[in-house]
Amino acid sequence: MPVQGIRTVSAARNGVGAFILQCKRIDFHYCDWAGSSRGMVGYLKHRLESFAKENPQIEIRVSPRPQKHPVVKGHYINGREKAICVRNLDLQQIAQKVNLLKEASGEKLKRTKKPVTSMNESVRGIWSPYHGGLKTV
Amino acid sequence: MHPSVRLLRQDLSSIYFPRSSIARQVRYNSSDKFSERVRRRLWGTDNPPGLKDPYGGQGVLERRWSGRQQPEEAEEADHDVDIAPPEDYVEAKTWDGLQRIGHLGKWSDLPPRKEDTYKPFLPERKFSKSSKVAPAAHQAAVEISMMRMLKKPLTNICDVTDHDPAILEMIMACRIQPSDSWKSTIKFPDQRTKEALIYVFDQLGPQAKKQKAKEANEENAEVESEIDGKLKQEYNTTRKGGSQALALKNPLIKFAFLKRFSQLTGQRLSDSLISSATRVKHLVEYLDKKGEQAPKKLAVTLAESSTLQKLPNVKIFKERQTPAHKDREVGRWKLIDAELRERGLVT
Repeated sequence: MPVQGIRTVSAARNGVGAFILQCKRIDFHYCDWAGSSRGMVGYLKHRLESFAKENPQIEIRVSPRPQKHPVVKGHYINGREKAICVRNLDLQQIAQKVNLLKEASGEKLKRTKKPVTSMNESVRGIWSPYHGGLKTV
Repeated sequence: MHPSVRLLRQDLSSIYFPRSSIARQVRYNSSDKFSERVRRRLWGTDNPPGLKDPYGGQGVLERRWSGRQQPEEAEEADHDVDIAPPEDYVEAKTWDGLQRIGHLGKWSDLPPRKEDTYKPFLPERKFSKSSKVAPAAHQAAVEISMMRMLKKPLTNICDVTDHDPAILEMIMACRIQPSDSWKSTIKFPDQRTKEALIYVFDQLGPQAKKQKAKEANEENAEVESEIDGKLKQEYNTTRKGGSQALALKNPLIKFAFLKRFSQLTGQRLSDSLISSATRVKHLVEYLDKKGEQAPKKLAVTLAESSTLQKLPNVKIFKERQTPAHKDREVGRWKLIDAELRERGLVT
């Protein structure tokens, strides 16, 4: 009896049926003393609350990092981390960076070469030299 | 001759030993044998006159070298003898108490002397709260007034870092009557306090001036005894915060007051504050404000926020999070700790 492979019943396509946010945790690090953390301190005082309310599925951790520049670090469900240094950035710019981390998939950034990308297999199938118009030499 | 052939013709000793030693050896051999035979033939006797060595023996350098080598050899011979340690010898585990070997000519190499110990003028403690700054200002004002009354150098009071509690209590019991000239500013609660304070402050400064001060005290005592009855009345009338209204116009008084005030509070006063302050209250207000403006930690501010506390997905830490914290969170720390204890690295 030939061995049979397990047939896939469904493929995980995030967003088709349900959407799971890839970012699971965001860490905010700041320094109480340094001037480069001024924007970060402002963000934590005035914007963190609304951001946490809007994104209850993201765990938020705030901890000081003395004598260092402020950093926002995103943790993703694929196990990867993304850290962005937000030194000397103002409140708006930090909000943009946090949003970027929130929406990121956690994968490494890839260059898009083709105009269209899809997870579906090609309708034409994979090209084979033994099928189709065979050439005789 | 080809270079390679020349190399073959050479004796091996000429390659590995210095040429000078070989030449010397040849010279000595020749002097003993060939040259000696020639000399005998020339003179026709077995004992020809002249030196055996026609070159005059060892050269200057050789004689020096041999002279140097002899003591070294003697020292080496001494070292070969085993020196048995004494019976009460105990091997040192640390360098404490051992004789220090090395250069001892520099100041840093010498043991510290009495003059080398540094004692800062400002104490380590700093007062910034109004509950402690205002009494310090009052104390400084009383002290400067006392020194002025006794006609002593005003900055001599800085030699006293701490008063006896009883004396301090007396100083704090005094009242200050604000005046621009700092004359007769102190109002004592009673005559006994006044005498005690005068006696204490009289001890400060050089002896020569003490005599003058004593004379001044006697004169003052006579005058004061007359008005002793009025003293309590005036004391009650002067308001409590009188020291803060004192003027700092006289540069000598200002300098002495600032020096003492700075010493008592432990606070450095900026040049701009010193130049702009015209009354004592300006200094007190400045330090009060400075104490209030101490920056609050963000973690404390966030932790106090009730809305953030209610949110289940927000966690605020007051301390820096290290990899050890992560280990504890994951549960890895127990294993690390157990392993370290097992190996005896942590007790």
